[in-house]
Amino acid sequence: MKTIFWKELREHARWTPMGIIPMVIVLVLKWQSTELIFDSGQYGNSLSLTSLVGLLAASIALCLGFVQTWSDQRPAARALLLHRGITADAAFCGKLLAGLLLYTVAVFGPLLGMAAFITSVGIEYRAASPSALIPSALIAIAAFSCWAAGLLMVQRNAWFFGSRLLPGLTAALAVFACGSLMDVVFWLATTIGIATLVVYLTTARTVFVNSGQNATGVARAGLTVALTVAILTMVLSVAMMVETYRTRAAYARAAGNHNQYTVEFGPDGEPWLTRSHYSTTDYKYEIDQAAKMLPDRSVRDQLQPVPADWKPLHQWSSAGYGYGYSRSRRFIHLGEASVPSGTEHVRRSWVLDRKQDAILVYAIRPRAWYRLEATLLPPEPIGTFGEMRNQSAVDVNGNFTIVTTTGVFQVPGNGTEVEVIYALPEHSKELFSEIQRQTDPQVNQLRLLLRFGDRVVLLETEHVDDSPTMSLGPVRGLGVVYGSVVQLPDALATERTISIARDSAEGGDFVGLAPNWSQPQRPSDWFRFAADGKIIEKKQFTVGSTAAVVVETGNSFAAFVPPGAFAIGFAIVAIENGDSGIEQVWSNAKAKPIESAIPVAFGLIQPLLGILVAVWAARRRRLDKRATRRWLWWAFFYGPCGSLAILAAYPRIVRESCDACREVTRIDVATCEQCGHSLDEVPKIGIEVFDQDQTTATAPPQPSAS
Amino acid sequence: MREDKIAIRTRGLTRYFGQKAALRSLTLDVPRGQVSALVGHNGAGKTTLIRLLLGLLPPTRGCAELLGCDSQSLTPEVRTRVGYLAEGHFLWGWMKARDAARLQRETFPRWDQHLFDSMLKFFGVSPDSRVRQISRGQRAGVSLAMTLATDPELLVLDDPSMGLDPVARRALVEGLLAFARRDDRTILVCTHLLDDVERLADRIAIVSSGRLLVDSGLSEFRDRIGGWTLEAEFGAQQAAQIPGLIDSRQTRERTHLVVADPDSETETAVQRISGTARREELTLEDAVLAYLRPAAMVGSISDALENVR
Repeated sequence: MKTIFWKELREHARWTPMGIIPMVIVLVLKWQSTELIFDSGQYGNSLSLTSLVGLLAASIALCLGFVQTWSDQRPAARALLLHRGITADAAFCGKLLAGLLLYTVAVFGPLLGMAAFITSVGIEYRAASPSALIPSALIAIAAFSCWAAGLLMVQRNAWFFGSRLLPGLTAALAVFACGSLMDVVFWLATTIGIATLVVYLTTARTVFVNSGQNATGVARAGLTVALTVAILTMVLSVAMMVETYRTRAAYARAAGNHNQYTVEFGPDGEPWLTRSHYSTTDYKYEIDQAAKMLPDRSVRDQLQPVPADWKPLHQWSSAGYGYGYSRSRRFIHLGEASVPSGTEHVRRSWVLDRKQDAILVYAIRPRAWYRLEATLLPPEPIGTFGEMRNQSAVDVNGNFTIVTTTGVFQVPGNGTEVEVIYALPEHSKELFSEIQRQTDPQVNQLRLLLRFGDRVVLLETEHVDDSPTMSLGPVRGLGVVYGSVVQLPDALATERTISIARDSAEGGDFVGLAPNWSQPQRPSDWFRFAADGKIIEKKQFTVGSTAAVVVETGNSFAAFVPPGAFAIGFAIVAIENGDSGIEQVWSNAKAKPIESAIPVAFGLIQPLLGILVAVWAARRRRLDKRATRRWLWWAFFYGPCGSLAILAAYPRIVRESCDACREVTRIDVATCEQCGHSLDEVPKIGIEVFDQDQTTATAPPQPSAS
Repeated sequence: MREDKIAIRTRGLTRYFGQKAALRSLTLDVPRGQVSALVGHNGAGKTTLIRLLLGLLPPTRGCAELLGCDSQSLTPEVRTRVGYLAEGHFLWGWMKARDAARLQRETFPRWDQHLFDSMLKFFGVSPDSRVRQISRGQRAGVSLAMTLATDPELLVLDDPSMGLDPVARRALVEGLLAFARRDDRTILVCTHLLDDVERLADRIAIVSSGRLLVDSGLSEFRDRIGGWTLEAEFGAQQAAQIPGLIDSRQTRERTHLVVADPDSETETAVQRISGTARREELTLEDAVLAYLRPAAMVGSISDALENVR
């Protein structure tokens, strides 16, 4: 192994700069073009650092795998490599280790250099930490599977425009999936990365050792997975493109003039279905019709025009958990504004540094040069910002509000201290919140619903803007004008999405609504309750459709998803979101039974088609009954796309006619399948000269010249 | 022949590339301690046979053994006892001669550095010469040195004379003869040069279109091939009357016949076609070429030359 390792190293070291140079260029350009926070995330439409490094590392690995194998394709070169006192396994290991070392130098060298640079610069010029490179390093490890894919593509005996290039496609897809999922579902990204690496290295080893034949079960299994994923991805991509085109066309037709249906608290505190018309001239919704909700029936057909002064009660809504801030990232960008400072304006940017538990204030200079200007610490006596949950937009003076698990804070645009608007009790670690901004342009108020356990804090802050728009003009001040801790009724406390309003201005009861916007067919609960959670009145009704733009989005894409892929997707949703994920999938299906049933029905045809294709392919490859039975299971779960892998996993059976019976028979067995004649018995032509043998004159050759 | 006296054994060895059979049911024994020459035209299947023997290619059907070990599962130990010189004297161009020696030395325990150095000297190659910078003949010399210095029990050479000048070629043949005399070494040499075969080989195997047609001692082979010259019309009808006819070649008014295992029946058949037919002494080259001449090709070349005249 050592011999081959050194030989490979010396032979291919010259390619290393071709990997190092693009890596360095990408890292430097990414650093220069980064907008303040240098991390693995994605900003705007640009590729994230992780995806870029993943893409480049995968290309480097693929090219390295190619060049390390291509030269061995010549029989003489392969003979010189393998015909020596080592096993083919050892030769593969030598190649692998040399490839790994060269890849490490090309990919991890620049990454380490970048980490050293970031460490030396600190956070003075960018909100950056060497740990931002960890996801890139992890994706680079997974991308090494492309080295094995390169080797596999070169070594394997297959048609280039058939299944030969497909393993490379799957490896690239896996790396891309890892890069996309790294910051979202880390365990899934890690699993995909490790699985791809293991499957590809194992398959490549087997194919290398067996002279390009996928003759073993391991190689067949690896190829089957790789090819099924590749074929399935291609089919689903086409289906998705068609579906996207259809949906966009339908949306374009519907978006011009449409209505949005929502449930609001009417002036009486009761739930009303309202219709808001979207105006294409001033780009906003205006409620023009409403109808009081009735139990167990739709009121869509009872909507009546409402007077211009008809207004729903102001409500606090919680539309989600507010967990959109990745806990794995050190820096969270809070906002950016041009802040008046004396006679000039200074452009500033604010970043929450979770590690330092401080807000970093950067001054932005021309040509996007950043410089750390101040560090704002959490105010006493709270002492910590806790976990970020939500924030308001930055106003023209640079003031903005953040909601964390320890309280609500006002961050000043020009000041040096963060103010506490509301300090939360200690047991609020599971807080989730939603900031509601009133849509009335004359009054710019922040409405906060802070929820922890079965209680909510309702806050309304004065935040009055003299100008008719929210984004311009000076802000007079900020303070809490309404604050109340309310005990939720038990039934409402368990709901994730709630709306609360006060049914009268002074000292009245509260009304609460637990509609489920994503599952409109599900009954919604309405309560009138006191501040201590005591229920005064309770109703149930069905919300009905709330889609802003009613678009006929067919689910034909789902028809191409085979049961196995669906099961994997379902399992991922279940693991990631627990019961709620499954419940949501199920409820969605129940909400649109017909729309869901059609693709499911088509999806069920897939196993049938898969089995038919598998039987055909197995017969073509002359698989025995046991192997065919195993493939039928695979075909059941992965449909025709999975069945096609049979053709690549097994070599084509060559047939020719038997010398004895003239029937066609396969040539890789000792005897004719039809008559049992030994295929090794080649008829003599009468000119053979063998030791201790006599020539049998049977059929002399034709003369070469007449 | 006793089992342990066989260095290479193949049984029904068959290899297809797609629909094309490169080797068909080849059954061959190469005895230990002898030099066997493998002869065949381009594309006959010689190199495929060697790749199959060394386990570098899996057979479609049949099996092969090398020094008693199945060729598809040759152990590293067996491989070190087999020297292989690939066709074209392939070497990695970036290597220096001393790197090539190092590569071999570390994986062949019986490496003979002295022999390697001597051969380099003979071919005028410095150990620091890079392979891509030396001549084709010198590269052949390095390649040969790399193979012979492993001190193999069995030497498999695929066209070793390719690229060698006459002096080097002569030296190679003498070197191989000397090698073969040491401790019962076996050589399987694949070559197109019939002079070398005559000088070097104890046995000859002829492969044509993937089929083994001859596997015999060299002198026995000569004895079993006969030739006639006749001055008569000779066509397919006449050819069918002669048992064991290998080849018939027309030169102006004469026809030369080459026949395997001629006997009295052959003599009678030839005389029946032409009473003036007379026996012809055949050289090894005549006999081998009779097996190798693809009828259609030779015919068309002769016709073409005739037209030019």
